[in-house]
Amino acid sequence: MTQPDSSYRNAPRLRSSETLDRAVLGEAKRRAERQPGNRNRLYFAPALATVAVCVVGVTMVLKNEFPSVTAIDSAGVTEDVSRAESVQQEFTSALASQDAAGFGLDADAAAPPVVLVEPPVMRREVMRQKSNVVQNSAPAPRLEAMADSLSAADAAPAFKDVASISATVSERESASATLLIAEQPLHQFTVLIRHSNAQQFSDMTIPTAIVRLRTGGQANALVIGSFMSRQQADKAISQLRLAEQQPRVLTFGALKKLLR
Amino acid sequence: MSLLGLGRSDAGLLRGYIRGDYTAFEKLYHRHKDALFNYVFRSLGQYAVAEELAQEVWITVLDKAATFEPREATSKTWLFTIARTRVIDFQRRRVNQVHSDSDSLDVPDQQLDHERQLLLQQMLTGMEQLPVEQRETFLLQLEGFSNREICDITGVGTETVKSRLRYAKSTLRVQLGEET
Repeated sequence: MTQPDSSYRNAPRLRSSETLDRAVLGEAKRRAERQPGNRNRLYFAPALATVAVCVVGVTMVLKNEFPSVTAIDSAGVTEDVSRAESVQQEFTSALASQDAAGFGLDADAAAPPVVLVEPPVMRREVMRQKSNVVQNSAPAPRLEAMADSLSAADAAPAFKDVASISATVSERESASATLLIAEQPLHQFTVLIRHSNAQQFSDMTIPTAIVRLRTGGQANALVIGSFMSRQQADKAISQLRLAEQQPRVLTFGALKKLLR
Repeated sequence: MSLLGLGRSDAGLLRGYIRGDYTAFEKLYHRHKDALFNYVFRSLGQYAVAEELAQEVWITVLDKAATFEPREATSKTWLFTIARTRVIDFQRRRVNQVHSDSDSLDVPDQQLDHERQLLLQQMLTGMEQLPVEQRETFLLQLEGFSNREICDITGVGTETVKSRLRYAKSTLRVQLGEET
C-alpha cells in the first residue's frame, strides 16, 4: 500500500514569490541599516586590527626615528628646506585643482587616487619641526628615505606625492586621535585620520602614517581629513562613494564642504 | 560563500543580523523560505494567503530576532513555531468568516503545470480531511522535523505527536486507497 507520507513528500513544492522575497529582504535591509553597530562593522571591522597594528608601529617608529618632516602651514607655505619649491608647487596646484573641481574631486585625475590633507598636527610639534629646520640646514634625510622606501616598495606615484607633501598644520591643537578606516570597493581603503588626542599622536605625522599603511599593503586610496564626529566621517565616505570618484586631492576644507 | 551561507549555523546568522549584518539574514531567509512557505501553504491551501502569512512570519522574525534564545530552541524550530502560531491565528479568524470551498489554489501559472496542480490539489484535499492538530504535525514531519522538534513547536508530548502522526497517516492512507 502506498505510504501517505512518502506520497505527500513527493507532492509538488512551491516557491515563495519574488514579491515576497523583495518585501521581506527589503524590510530586513532597512532594519539592518538602522542597527547601531552596522556602520562600524561595514566600515571598520575588516581593517581595524591591521590599522591598530600599523598605528602602534608607526608611533613607536616615529618616536625613535624621523625627527624631521616637511611642513606646510595652514596657508600652504612650505617651511621645509629640502623640497620647498616642489612641495609648494604641488600643493598649490593641488589646491587650485580642488577649487576648480569644487569639493576637491578631480574627475580628470589620471594619477592613482589619493590624497590630501590638512591634518591637525600639534602646533608645538610643528614648531619643533621648524626649529629643527632652522637649526639644521641640511636636507631632511628622513623625507628622502621615505621617498626611497616608497620607490623600493613599488609604491604608486601619488604616494610619493603624499610623502613629499608631508605634514600640514592645522589651527587646532587638541583633541583625540582616531583612525577611521573604511573598506572601499575593489579592495581600496579610505583612511580618515582624525587627530584630536594630541597626547597620543603628538609624535606622529600623517604622511608617515600613510606611508606606513601603504607599505603595509593596506591602502590604495586615501582621504585624510579631520572630523569632529564619526557621523561626519561616515557622511564624507558616503559622499565620496556616491560620487564614485577617486579623490586625488581633498583638503580638509573640501571635506568640510562635503559635510555641509 | 554561497547564498545559503553554508557552514554558518542559523543561530550564527541570526546573531550576525542582530549586529547589523543584512547578508546574514538574507542567507537565513534563503535557507528556510521555501520550507516555511510550503508549510504555511499546505496548512491553508491558498497561495495568496500563504504569502501574506509567510511575510508576517518573517517580519515577526525580524522583530524578535534579538530575543531568540538558541539554548531553548533551534532557529528553525523557533521559526516554525512562529509560523504555526500565525497559521492557527488565521484559521481561527477564518472560522468566523464565510469560506468557500471553491477557492482555487491560485498558484502562479509559471510554478506548476496542470498535472502537478492536480497533484497538489489532491494533497490539499487530503490535508483538509485531517483535524488541525494532526495536519500540522504531519506537515511538520514532511518538512523534516523530528518528533522531538515537533514537540517543541507544538508544545505537546512525544506520545501525543506519535499518536497524531499515526492517526493522520491512517486517514491519509484510506484516502489514497480510495483515490488511487
